[in-house]
Amino acid sequence: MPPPAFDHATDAPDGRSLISGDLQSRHWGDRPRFLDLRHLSFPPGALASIAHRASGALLAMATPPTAWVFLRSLASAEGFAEVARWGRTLPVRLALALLLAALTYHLLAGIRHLLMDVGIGSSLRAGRASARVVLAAGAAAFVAAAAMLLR
Amino acid sequence: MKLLSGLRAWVVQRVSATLLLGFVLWFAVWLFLVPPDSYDQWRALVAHPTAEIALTIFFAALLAHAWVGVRDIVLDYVHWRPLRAAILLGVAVGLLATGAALALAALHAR
Repeated sequence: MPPPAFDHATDAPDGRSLISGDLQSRHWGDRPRFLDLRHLSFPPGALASIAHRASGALLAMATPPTAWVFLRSLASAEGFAEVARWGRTLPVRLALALLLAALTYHLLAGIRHLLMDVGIGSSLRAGRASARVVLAAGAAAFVAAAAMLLR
Repeated sequence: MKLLSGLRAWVVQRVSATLLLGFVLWFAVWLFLVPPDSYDQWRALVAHPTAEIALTIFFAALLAHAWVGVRDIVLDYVHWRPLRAAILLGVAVGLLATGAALALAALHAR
């Protein structure tokens, strides 16, 4: 039996199929779905985009509890003291460091998107470079926030 | 859900992003320059007429931005209709309740 022909549409250069076994029969029309995350490559732009979504989802989930804490701190002097006391506990400071880092990253990645919308840095080269920059800045923001809040 | 979709959602996301960016930077600088050490200082900071207007715009932009962003994510990854509807309903209720609590507190403070 001859070896199966190399299929440019579905095979990686090393001959592996990009489609995992259980997905091979699932197509959209004639087009295969490339959903095997182990075989897909994630260029910097994809990682920056996923991190932007993940940080955004985290910030959205944090919005109602944060608004509640904000209102509590303003409701009375006792409420303010209570919120200040929470702010000195380890779990809250940990959550705060995470949210601060997520916010910093989300803002930077968001500025990157807004600049690209008006045509600044939207070439492939510049996009890859700026994706690396915002990812590195996000990691630095996490270290800085943790160092600041967990002393 | 035609209220915030398509081009309008795209525009809302970018306008609210710009507003939020400005507000976050401004508020961070303000908190850094005048850190509130007591309840009275904190209350005065937030009750400042400029802060009052800015906070109103900020929370409106934040809730709209959160809705469009979460909606985009859910529509991309949750394909089973009942689950999608349930998640979107839960998010909408959570964000609207947050907005209502903030609006009530602002009215009460007057």
